[in-house]
Amino acid sequence: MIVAGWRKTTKVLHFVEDTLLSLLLVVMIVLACLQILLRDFFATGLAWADPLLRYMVLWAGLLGAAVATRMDKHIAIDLVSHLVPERILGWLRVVAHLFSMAVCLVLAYAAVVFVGDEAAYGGGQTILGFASWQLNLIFPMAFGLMGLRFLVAAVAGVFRILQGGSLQAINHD
Amino acid sequence: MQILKILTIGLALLGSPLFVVISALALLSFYGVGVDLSVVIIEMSRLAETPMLLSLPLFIFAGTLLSESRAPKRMLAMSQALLGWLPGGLAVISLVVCAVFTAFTGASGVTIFALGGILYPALLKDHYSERFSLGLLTTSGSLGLLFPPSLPLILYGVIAETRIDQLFLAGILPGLLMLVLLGAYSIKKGVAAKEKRAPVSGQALKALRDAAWELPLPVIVLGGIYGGIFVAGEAAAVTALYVLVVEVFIYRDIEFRRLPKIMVTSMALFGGILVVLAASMASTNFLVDQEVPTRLFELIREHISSKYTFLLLLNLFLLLVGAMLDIFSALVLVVPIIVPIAQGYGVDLTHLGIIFLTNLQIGYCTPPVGLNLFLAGYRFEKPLVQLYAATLPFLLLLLAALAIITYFPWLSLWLTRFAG
Amino acid sequence: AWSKRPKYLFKIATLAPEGSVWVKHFENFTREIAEKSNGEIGFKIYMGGVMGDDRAMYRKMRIGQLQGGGFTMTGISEVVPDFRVMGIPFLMKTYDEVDRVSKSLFPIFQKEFADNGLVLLAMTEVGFIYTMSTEPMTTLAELRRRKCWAPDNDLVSRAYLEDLGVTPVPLAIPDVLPSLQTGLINTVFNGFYGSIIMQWFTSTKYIIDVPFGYAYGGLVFSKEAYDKLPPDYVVLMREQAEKHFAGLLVDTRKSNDEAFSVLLAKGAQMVKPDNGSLDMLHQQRAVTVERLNGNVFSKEIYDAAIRALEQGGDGKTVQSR
Ligand code: NA
Ligand code: NA
Repeated sequence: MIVAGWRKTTKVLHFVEDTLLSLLLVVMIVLACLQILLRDFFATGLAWADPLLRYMVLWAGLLGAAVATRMDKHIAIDLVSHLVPERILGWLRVVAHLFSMAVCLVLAYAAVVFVGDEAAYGGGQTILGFASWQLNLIFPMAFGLMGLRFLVAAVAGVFRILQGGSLQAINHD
Repeated sequence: MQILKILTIGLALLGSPLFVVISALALLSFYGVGVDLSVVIIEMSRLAETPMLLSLPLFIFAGTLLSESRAPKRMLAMSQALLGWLPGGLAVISLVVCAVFTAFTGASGVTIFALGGILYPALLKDHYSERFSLGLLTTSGSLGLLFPPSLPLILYGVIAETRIDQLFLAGILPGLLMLVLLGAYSIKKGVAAKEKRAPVSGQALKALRDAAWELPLPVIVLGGIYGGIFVAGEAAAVTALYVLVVEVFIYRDIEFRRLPKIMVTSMALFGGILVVLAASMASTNFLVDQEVPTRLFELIREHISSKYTFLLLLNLFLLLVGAMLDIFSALVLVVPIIVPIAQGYGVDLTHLGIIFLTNLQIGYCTPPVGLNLFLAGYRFEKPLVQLYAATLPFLLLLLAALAIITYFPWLSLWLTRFAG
Repeated sequence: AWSKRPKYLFKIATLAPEGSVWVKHFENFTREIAEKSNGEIGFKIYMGGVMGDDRAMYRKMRIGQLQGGGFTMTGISEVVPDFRVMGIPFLMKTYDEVDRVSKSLFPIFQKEFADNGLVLLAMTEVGFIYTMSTEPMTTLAELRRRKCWAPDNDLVSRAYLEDLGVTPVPLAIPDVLPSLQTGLINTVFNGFYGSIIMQWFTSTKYIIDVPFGYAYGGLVFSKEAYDKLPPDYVVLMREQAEKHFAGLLVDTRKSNDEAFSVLLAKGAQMVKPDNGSLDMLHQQRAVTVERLNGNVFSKEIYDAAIRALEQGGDGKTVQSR
């Protein structure tokens, strides 16, 4: 039951992430091309488009990083893993995942502070009616999500070691 | 604090994500001097003020589409039809196609995987030695990093705050130099191999027609930017749109329903790069805050007075870095520290970028841990030691190119004059 | 230079590059304060934008990484909107007018900065900014056909250009030079000195002979750090700021004059705008001001600026604006 519920939740989450990322990418391409068209052929342009595009890049990147965490596709310097025996390596991976979780959660906390400060003193920067704190909301969300994913990866790692590699259900999130 | 930092680096060696490690070091460092931790996010948020960044996700998407399509095959057929008559023709073709392909897809291993599988048996069939063929393909895996619109070139521009349109021009002649050196060597080997040469035939026209839609890509990128039609970020958008239409709707290489997955994969790839970049913004800011670059420069200045000695040592250092780290990590970690020092010695930042990328490109093929060696070992099922030996002559040629590129700055800068 | 750690350390950032007239005067200011306080007040200066743009600098002051910054008008106006009032196009034409307006508005600005937890210690200037273009133009119709830059956070200039029927291309300052060179834009605004140090003049040969507006900035401290200073040091800071930043104004103006001669020597041409178009520019400005007044800046600050302008320095009222 719990496993089934978990599966469903992650499935929905993955769908939301994937849809949002694809949409962001499509809108970035269309908006940037539209700007060229407007400027070069109609000598006009959308004043909000360029700053909005820059934030969309940020959103796509941070959301992409959350997806990269789920796919285990982050850039890493892995120099010693092939020197360590398999059994110990499993535990060391768990330690590394817990460490990554801790760092992401501290980053998420720092991001909450930052967004809070922006909401309180952010000043006049708005794009299409979005205030600065709203534009920066992706920071706490993405780092929070990554933190949780590293936690899940650590737990899954422990289960894998103890049960010799079963529990597929939470392996992939 | 120091113990925590050492622990963090230990965890890095255990394969923790690089962005986590750099962020942890930045957080610990700022905590140590009593600055509020949200400074890390303030620095990261500066990425939203970087207009050039837009070109990264869009070129990554275009590159992923190209590598998922049959574009490599078409390019190969076309080059074969055009260059097949040359002595060493197939080897030269391999170099050119790999270079162009790497420029558009980044040196993520796609070149070795997508093209290597086709080229390796073809080279053997044309009587090239196994050793030569392996060396050639391993080296070609990162050839083309200097040609626009290569991602590492853009990333250098973003980090060093250097004009990307100038970097694009600056890479062309040094990239050609490497192609010519390797090409000349291949022709020499090709004469010895006595391969059979294909005359230019009716096939040429067909191959050309087949690849007709992909041929304009370099023109779109360069012509658009230097023709004043769009900036680098917009060039990426046009390229992405063009590749999308061509591969999905005209060639129909990629089914429409596969698109979302390709989009998500490419954005995950971009996300991986962006968080490393974001984390390094924070760690670099700590160094700036503590005035480290200034002090480092003064320290180095005491011992090295000549710009040329500096460049020599820089090359040795970068070759070492290139052999240890992948290109994105190397750029993100080293560029922010080197840029102010190099500026102190009066090194042109565009030229510096070309030096950086040439070194890192060579680093892909240097033992013990060059990425191309691993990829080629995996793809061609050969032991690493055999690849070390096979790559050696190519490596020496690339080092000669590096020396020329470093000590003749005009090679990098001559074309940039035309962009003002 | 001082062996002991300063008791009051101010980390100050600015976009101004090393060696520029602004940084030189600021360094003199900090040197004299360090001396006169026996090293109890110390400064660390981060030049050339290494700490980020105005927005990042302000955020870092908020959390205490920085204690101050040399801000541009457009940047800090996101925090203190009224500060942008002197940037209204065609508002002032002479340094006399500038000095009169800024002297009279300075206390109001200071109060509004203080309301936002900031101390405005001195005003700085880029100077009068001119329309510079790759082709000569004399009429508004010609301006409408140009690809015209506007600073991406300068709400007043952007609104004005839009009202004129010009669609500005908003770009951050570092993107202007490459965009000029590749033809993405062909008309920009800058002071003479700024145009030379940013290399924009290499692309823009034609300069319209009427200043488009006035660009300025301010030396701003975080109130939290500044309030830690004992009263005698507050006096010291204020006196030194008055002395050195008055000198900076003189030098900036001199640099602009010299830069003007350099530009002419390098082949720049001043273009007289057509009178009818000039009238239309002024009329349209009134429309824009009406639209922005009480919105992008307050009615009070605008009225105060107009009052200061109309009390001519030598008794006579200035006729046109
Ligand atoms: Na940086
Ligand atoms: Na490497």
